[in-house]
Amino acid sequence: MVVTSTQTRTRRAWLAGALIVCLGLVRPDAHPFAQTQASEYELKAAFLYNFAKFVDWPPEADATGPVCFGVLGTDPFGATLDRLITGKMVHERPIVVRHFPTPDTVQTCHLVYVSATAARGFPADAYARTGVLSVGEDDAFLAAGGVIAFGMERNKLRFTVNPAAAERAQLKLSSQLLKLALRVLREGQ
Amino acid sequence: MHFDSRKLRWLGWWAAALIAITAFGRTVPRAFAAERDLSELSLQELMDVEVISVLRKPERRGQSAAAVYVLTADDMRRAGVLTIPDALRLVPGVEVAKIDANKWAVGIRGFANRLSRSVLVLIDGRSVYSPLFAGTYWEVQDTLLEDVERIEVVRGPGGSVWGANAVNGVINIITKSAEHTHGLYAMGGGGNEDRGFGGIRYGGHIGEDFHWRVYAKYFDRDAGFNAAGPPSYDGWQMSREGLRIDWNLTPRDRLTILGDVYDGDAGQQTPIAIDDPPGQRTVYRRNDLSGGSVLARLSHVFSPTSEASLQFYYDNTFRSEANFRERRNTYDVELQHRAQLPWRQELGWGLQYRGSAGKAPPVVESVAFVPHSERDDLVTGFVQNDIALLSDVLRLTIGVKLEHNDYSGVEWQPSGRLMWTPHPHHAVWAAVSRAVRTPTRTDQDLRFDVFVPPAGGLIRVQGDRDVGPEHVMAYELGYRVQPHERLFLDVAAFYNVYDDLVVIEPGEPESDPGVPGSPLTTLIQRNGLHGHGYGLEIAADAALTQHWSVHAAYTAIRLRLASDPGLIGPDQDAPEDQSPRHQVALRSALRLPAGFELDGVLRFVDDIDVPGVSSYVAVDARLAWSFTTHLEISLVGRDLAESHHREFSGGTEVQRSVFAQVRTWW
Repeated sequence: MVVTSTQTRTRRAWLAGALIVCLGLVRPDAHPFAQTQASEYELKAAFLYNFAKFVDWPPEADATGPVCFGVLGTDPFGATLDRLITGKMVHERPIVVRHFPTPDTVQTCHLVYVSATAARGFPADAYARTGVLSVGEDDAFLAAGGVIAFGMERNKLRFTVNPAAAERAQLKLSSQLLKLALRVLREGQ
Repeated sequence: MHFDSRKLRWLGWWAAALIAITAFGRTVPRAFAAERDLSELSLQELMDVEVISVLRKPERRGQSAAAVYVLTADDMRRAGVLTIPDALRLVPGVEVAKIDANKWAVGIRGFANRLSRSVLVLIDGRSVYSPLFAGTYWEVQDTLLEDVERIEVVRGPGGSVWGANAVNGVINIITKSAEHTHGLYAMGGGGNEDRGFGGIRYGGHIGEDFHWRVYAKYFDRDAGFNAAGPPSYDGWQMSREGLRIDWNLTPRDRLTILGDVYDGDAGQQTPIAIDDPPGQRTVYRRNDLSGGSVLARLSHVFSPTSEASLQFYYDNTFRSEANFRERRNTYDVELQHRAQLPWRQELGWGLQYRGSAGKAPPVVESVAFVPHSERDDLVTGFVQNDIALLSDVLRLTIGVKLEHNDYSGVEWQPSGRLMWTPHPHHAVWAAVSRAVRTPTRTDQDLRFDVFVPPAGGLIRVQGDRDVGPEHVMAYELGYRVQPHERLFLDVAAFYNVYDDLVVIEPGEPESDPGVPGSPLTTLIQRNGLHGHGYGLEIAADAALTQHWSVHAAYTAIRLRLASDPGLIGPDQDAPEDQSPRHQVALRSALRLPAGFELDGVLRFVDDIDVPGVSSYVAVDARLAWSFTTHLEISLVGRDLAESHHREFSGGTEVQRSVFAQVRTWW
């Protein structure tokens, strides 16, 4: 009796071993970054930089100097945004980050990030302007005339695009950006 | 033979472990390449990067002029909790004590009791406050925890727009939109106390605008430790099924439909006073618990600066205990509107009607509601204006809630809040609010006999139609600071003045007509307890490294209450002595290479003046391993420090528990 049960357990241990080995071998490792992690705003900063690559600004936007990234209201990025874009180029132009803590300080930038706090405290015309790619935090921001809003899906960052707002701002968004968006709002949405 | 087999078996396990570690180790250097440059990843690659929520949404917490704490789904997963009350143990200012295996006493800023009567609990906009017993039956409030987006806990009265009974705070449980729960999720596990549990959810979409999910869950939990000896009576099991639909009808209209049904039984020990000697019998029985609800909410966007929602829900609950039974139907309809006005004002207003009809026919002679069936009507309105005084730097919020109830007529509850944000990383807020707990049928219509063994007499607790509302004036002050990118501190202090809390007035002993010779003392419920309370709550979140975060919560509270002459004042069952003066919860969440997570919780809860309950330290630990993004295996130990400990009066003791859990997403 003892012998039988011991044999069964031994067999079970080997079986478990074999199973783990198999799982180990078929472990999807398709993407080198599949398991990487980042803090929320570090990741959002990298998204902002990437958004800028997929946008063509109208002639009205400043086309000579550096590309300007503006942060409206409370800055949630800390030093991460500055650190990330230091030395980076968009459309072969350097990038500068500028901060607009209050509505009266706002100036036109190519891309503005509007924090959820700022979305409440700033009038929509602070960011819904011609030549401004505005990026905010929720669908309410899109309803207020924003172009791109972040969203979260199973701990991964996603974004929604409002093409009507982009058109009003005379921005050309690449089709690749629209393809990667979680949702693309329809006309009037 | 025997010896050899064992050796062989160990060899098998070790070989398996070694190969597994080698296989998974391949990805370690890349996964831990912390200093890699995210800007070099393409957008597509960035979308595969997982967000570590090191700091719990400081933005959301940072912007409200109230003491708010947010627990995310990730916090709950990593704390290894299986129930909502256990998750609330991590929140500063909240007291959670387990009464027995299926009952909790939950309180905010003191007053923890079986039904949390001064706390408003909302699940996706549906109030689960029982208007019969004043409070929340925590054992029937549940959902698939994976689908909970967050639990927002607002301490203090003014944080809620809806009036009734949010005297000490609001617990708002919000589930994820069906847009964010596509696919299959399944989990299952078991252990010594949580004997078996499982849940499954499937979600999908039809077109781009119609999103849905359905879920089912079940658990079977073991009884707590009964120091008085057998029987172990408080085991419980419950099953629950539910659905959610989010449907964008038009670009401006969104319809949300939620529904759930549950059915279960939970063991309870019920002493019942009887007329014959020995005067009392104790019944051990499983309470039958069942119910369901359906909610529909239509949101409409009029313009970017104006939106409204109309919500309706129906809720049915049934519970049958050894001495009490109730079936209750609740209908609720509410309308809310928010609009931005000139000069950067945001105006919100709402109207609500709730009708709740309960039938509680007497089960035993010693407990009765007179009359046993009644409908409560509640009409509430609120208006609140949020004004930005100096752009984003100073904000003033003033509001008032008006309500009409069947017991005390019209009650009004004003509040004013001021928030000053001199710097993006500093915010100071202050608030003054008045709140009311309206009387319920327990205060007015309940007659309840208790047998007191030594004297051999009966005590009759009698409700009274003169019982009025309980009042509180709350003064609050808070400070939030993010001194460093990786550190967030939230401090709140309060001073509450309580008036007209309900206590009991003893009458003269008389002879009980039912039992010749045995004295009967009637205790009548009265508004007669007054006093004040003050406390301090600190929450700190620190992301020590990219892979390790720690979260701390500290709570201190003192209540000083005194009753009017002639009334039975704070005795050992009174709130003053039931709140631990100090509580600490420390939580660590550590990511290890190769998909491992090692998490732990250390909690200290101070002494309360209840026989058999002393201060205790509880330790929880969790080790989890994610094979892939599809599969996670975890081993969780809860209350590891002692084999058993008592947290509240009556009931049973909490036992050390260990369980294993598998979760999978497809």
